[in-house]
Amino acid sequence: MVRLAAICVLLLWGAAAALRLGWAEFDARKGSVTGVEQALGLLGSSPDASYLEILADADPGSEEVWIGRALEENPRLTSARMRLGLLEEQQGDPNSAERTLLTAARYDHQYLPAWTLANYYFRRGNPEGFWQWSRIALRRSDENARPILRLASLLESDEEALLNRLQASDLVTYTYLDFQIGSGRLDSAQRVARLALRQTRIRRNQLLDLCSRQLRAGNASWALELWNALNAPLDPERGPVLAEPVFGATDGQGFRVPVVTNKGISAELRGAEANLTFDGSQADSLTLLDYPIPAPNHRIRYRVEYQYRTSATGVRWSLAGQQGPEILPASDWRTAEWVVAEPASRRFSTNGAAARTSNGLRILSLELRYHREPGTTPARGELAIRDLHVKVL
Amino acid sequence: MNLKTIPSVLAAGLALELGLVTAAPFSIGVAVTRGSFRVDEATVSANATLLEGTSVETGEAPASLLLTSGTHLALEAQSKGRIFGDHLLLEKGSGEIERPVGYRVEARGLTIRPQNGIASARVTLLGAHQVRVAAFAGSFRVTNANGMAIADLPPGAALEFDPQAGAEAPEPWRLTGCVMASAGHFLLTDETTNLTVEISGAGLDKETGNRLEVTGTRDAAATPVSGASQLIRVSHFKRLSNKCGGGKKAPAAAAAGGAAAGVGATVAGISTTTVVIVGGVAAGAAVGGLAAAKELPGQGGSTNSTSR
Repeated sequence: MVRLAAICVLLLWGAAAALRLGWAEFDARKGSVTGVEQALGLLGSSPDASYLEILADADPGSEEVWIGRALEENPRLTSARMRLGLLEEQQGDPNSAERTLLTAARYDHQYLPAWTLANYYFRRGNPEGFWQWSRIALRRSDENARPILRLASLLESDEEALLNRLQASDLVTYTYLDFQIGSGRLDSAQRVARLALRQTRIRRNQLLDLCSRQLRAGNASWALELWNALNAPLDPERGPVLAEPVFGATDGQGFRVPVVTNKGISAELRGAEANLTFDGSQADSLTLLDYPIPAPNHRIRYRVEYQYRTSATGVRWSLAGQQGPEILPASDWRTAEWVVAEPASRRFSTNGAAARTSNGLRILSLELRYHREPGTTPARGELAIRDLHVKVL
Repeated sequence: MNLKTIPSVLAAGLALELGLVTAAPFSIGVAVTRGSFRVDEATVSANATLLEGTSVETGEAPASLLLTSGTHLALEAQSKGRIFGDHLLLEKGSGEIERPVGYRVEARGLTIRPQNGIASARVTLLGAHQVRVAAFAGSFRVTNANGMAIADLPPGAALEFDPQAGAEAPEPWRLTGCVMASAGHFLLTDETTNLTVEISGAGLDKETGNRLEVTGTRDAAATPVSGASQLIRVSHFKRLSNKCGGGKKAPAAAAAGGAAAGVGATVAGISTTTVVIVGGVAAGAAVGGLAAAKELPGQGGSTNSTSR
């Protein structure tokens, strides 16, 4: 019975302490001077140094006082010591600031003190200090390298040199890649991608995303370089120029074909064969498939070869802006080909989707298009296509 | 080493000793927070270097921005701004400025600039259009997107502005204040915005010393008399009282652009009893004045602000 009573007392005492601590935390987190003072009152004579730090936020006019008190309570409170260092820097005492920040880094071997020192040296115009402490910070945590890369890219424009200076991990390299893409520097992103391709762990999706971006930007040779590093190569001179399987991919990245998602048309892509079904509610004009094809500037003749059967009308191929003949209805499989001779004047055109030039290489669009002629009924039925090839003549 | 290089070597050494190594040309300051915030779209903990045009967005904790120029900025929690060497572009929430020598805040087309160096103010974006400016210390001038002065805030004043309220009808101006005569010209200092303008029009000569509500259009081609920011051609006026001074009379409710009139009417989102239209911007005294400007969402009951 006595034991039970003792246990109950202990439990009650623990609950009261937890309640007091929780209430103090609630008061402190209000962020006001009153709130923190109330919290300190609840905690008694040994305030948590972190509460004193909160007080520095709530009473910025006495920030240095509160930070100083916090450090008296807990000299190893890194966050307070870093704040003190930054205050000293702002007050024009860089020597004290450096000593304070280095002390914080000595006490705390985690990311933040190293990050703070890297920033400090950046602001002081001390690149060696920046690189040294950036390396240390990234060794401790490379998951959020972007803020460091933001500063590093201002000190070093050579991508390989930057990554070497940071002794960058795979993750940091790919973060750098994302950073350059996000900054719109596709040329730099391409150079980073080449470095990334040398690493043991390849992030295909990220590199294919860059490939797609290069395509959209008209950087054909760069897009092809990335594609060929990750997939069965495309050869603009000798072929193949269609990414295999021609009707197999659904992600629409790089040289792959995106899935048809037009209203009124359903698509089934099965590797070497595609089946499109028209229900009659589709728009009068639309592109069913759009293949980017790498082509040298000097090539002007192509042969599109395929097999088909269809009950739909109004469908035809288009390549480099030129329309082929309508694919006529056929209930059995038919073999067809279409030779396209591109006018010389079109070769260097950058009009619409016809061609995008880059370093002697273009991207042509092979499109499968549907168009309802005025006075005709919308197409209903199916179109099946297989064994599609594009030969460069 | 010849004699000419010795002084420069000594000078360089002295500079190094004094910690005067040239700071990075890119840095304009440092941002500090408890917890983390977003700096140029990346999540950063504790602190970050500010560059020209850096975007800073706070989360649960405010951020203190210390610029190399000596200006101190504070971004409240859930706020966002773009930081430049000479101005803060406030995009969300609330920002405070202190020791703003040559520094200004821009918010929704308005520019808030100190009239002297010993100044501090808070600028808050309210709703979809409004801007509240509270001057804690020193005086501030508010100008519109065209650079036209629309208010002079003395210390302790807090005004709310709606830059869009006058957009559909950039004219007329609507001001309330006492008419003073000066060397054959008539001046009126608006009671809300503290802006002094020259007014001209028929019948004003009989209104010297009276408190009027005037409506008119700005004469952009005219040069106002010294001490006035604009010349307003008064189209009509209403005498509010026969005598100036002794504090404001019960202010008449006013409306802009056809909104409902009446005491306490809310006009263009500004909840106040008096709204003036100045330079295409509706302006009114902030409800609750400076005290209201100091209170921020989430702060429980404290009257302390984050100003220094």
